[in-house]
Amino acid sequence: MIENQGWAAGKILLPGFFYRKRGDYMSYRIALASSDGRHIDRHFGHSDGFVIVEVEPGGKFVEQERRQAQAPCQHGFHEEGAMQAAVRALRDCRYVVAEAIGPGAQKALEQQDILPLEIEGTTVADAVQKIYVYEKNKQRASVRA
Amino acid sequence: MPKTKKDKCKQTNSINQVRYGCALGALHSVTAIPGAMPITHCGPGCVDKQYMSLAFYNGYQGGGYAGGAVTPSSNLQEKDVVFGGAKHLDQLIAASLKIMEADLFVVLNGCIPEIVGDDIGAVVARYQKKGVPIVSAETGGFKGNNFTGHEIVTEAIIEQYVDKFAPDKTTKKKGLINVWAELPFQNTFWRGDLAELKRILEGAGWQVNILFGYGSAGVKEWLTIPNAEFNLVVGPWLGLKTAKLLEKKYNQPYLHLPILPIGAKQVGDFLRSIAAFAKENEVKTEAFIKREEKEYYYYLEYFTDFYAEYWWGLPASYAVASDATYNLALNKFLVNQLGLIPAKQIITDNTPEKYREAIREEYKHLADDVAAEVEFIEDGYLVTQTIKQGEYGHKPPIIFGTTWERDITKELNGHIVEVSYPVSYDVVINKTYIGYRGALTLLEKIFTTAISKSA
Repeated sequence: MIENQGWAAGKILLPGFFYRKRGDYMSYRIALASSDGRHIDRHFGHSDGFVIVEVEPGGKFVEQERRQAQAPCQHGFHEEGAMQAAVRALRDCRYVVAEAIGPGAQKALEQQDILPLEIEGTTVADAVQKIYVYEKNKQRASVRA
Repeated sequence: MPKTKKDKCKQTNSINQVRYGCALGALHSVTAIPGAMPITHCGPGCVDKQYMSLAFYNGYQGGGYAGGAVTPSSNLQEKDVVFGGAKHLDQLIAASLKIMEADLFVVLNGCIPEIVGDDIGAVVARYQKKGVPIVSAETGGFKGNNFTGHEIVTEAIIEQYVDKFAPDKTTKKKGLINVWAELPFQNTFWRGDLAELKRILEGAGWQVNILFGYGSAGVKEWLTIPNAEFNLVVGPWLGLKTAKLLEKKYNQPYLHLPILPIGAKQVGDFLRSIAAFAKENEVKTEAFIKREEKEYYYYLEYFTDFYAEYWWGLPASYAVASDATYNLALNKFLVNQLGLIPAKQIITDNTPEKYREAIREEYKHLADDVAAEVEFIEDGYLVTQTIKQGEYGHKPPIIFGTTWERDITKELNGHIVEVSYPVSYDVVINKTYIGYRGALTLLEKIFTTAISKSA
């Protein structure tokens, strides 16, 4: 069982769709697999820590916490329960970013309505900025004139 | 009901029953060049859709060495939209160069990376600097259809490959011509047609860069484009843009003959026009025409018994719904050599506006005493409605069209010959409907269709 040991420890995490339900102008969260809090340098399955960034409606990025997780991949052996737990631990997020995300994990994330994104050799700050632009463009594109 | 915008042909911005591919579909112009390989930077499914529609359910032409399932694609995902897909393309090119053997690589992008802003040219330029024979063609779907894409690809190859790699760009070789005619794969019979076109031109004394298909020497033939004496554009409009580019670039004049020739009369006019334009090969042209006509009319003489005597009725009027090239070519042949009556003529390839008036003029003098109106429509519903309004007299008409015209043909109790994309009820290998030989095949097709209907 994965526990939240950071900022949100002890609080009840609501499923991701709850955060999104109240319209596109709500803030949203991005989980980024990082060992040092700056670089995206972990595979999803091997990551034992995620930086959680909240994008506020005004476009301000706030690092919420460093959320520890139990890596579901144990030397190539994936336990289905551990995978589900890892995904559940991030269900308040709209995006999960990692250096690589296996097909099984991608599917599990998508089932929770979380968008998995793979990116190599970039920083947390850069990825968050790009996702912010993308999200903004997406909202603009879906607004009917 | 919201007010719907309509153009002159009462067409809205929705089109059903497609009659062409998107600009990326021009990857087939690359696969049509022996030795060339497309590399595509687009969403998953883009290449599959273009292949399945243009090259599969269109005469079952197939993919071959570089098409179909072979064509490398970056299969862009959402992450490529968020973070940009240039790096992904770079990896794809590097991998393709490792495992794909080709004399020329053409990178084509779909609409996704062009909208997102991937700098495809910059990625490709890095390989070009290393001397790799590779070019990039921006064929985002919003640029237009596969006719537009074909011109983009052709020009990209000329500008980025031919211009760089051609050993000699100044010498002009007497009698050598570049031929710009049908659109490979879109024109279902392009393989046989280009082969016949090359045969008749060579017969008349020309050395021919046919550029696409089996008759082409492939990528190395493209390198001799600058050496041609002139460019020959066959068809109402496609290829004109390329010819104008070459005129400016290599000081090559061009001859535009709007009528793709079908049958002895048109081929004779065609070959004589070329000889007259270049003031060359007149004797060879006449000798070839004489020889070919002897053979052509040998067969036709026997055919006339059927054409004059068949008791059970043959179609007298027709409609054509096809791309501009085949539409005009068929009209010329049917009116002048079979004496059929034109009822409805519909051009479906979204011909650029600037060429339309000249094409309308062509239909005003199909023969000395025969004129027809031509309409430019792409939407299947309107094509059907238009064909329905035709005056066909008391006999069932013959419809030259696409598979989409089967329903209206049934309703009219007529006959259908599929001549334009999509041709889904013909298996096509190297059949031609043009030139001397193709005309005979077309006659066989038309009348076999007509008399076997009730069998």
